[in-house]
Amino acid sequence: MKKILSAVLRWCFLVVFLAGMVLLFLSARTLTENPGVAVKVRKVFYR
Amino acid sequence: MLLAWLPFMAYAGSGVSAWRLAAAVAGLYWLSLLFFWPLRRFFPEAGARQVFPFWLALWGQLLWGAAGLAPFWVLSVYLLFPSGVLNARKTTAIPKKQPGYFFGHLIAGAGFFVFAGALSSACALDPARGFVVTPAWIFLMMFVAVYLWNRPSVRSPRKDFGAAKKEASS
Repeated sequence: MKKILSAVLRWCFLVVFLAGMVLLFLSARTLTENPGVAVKVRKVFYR
Repeated sequence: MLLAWLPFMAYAGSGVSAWRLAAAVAGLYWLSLLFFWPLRRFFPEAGARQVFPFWLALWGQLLWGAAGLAPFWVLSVYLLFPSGVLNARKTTAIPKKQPGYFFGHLIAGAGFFVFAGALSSACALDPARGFVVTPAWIFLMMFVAVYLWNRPSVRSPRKDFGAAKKEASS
């Protein structure tokens, strides 16, 4: 029983982690679609 | 470390600042280490190993979309990252009796930053940009990396010392 619960919790953690990554991606994409932000980020890497 | 620097060759002549890119690589390396080190036990068996490429792809895609930066730099993070951290419960990959193991890997990020920045700056000194962007240079670097990787005296000096002692006694 303990093993099953542990496995279920691990898979739940994985799902939450993946959902967090998707949310991070979507929010960051919304931010960088702003041309002002994109130009600033570009300036960081290009001389 | 030399292998992790090779993706930097893809940015030669593209106007990307090597030092800033090296800082981004070291930053993501540290972030990944600080994130996956404490959380590795919470993933399913070998789950962290499968999630890690997605994690890198996310950051590569973000900077690709935001700055138009080709995502080769995440390969450097992948090559730098210690694979033992991603084994969820196979803790034998991480020596328990070495308290400096984690901090050693943290310092490796700083080492890579200095190494990659300095080496890329040295390559930029080539006035004609004739040799350092050619496949010959890349293969030379790969040869040096593989040679250093396979050199037995670097990998296990004690073992070799023991073998030499045995040979001397027999």
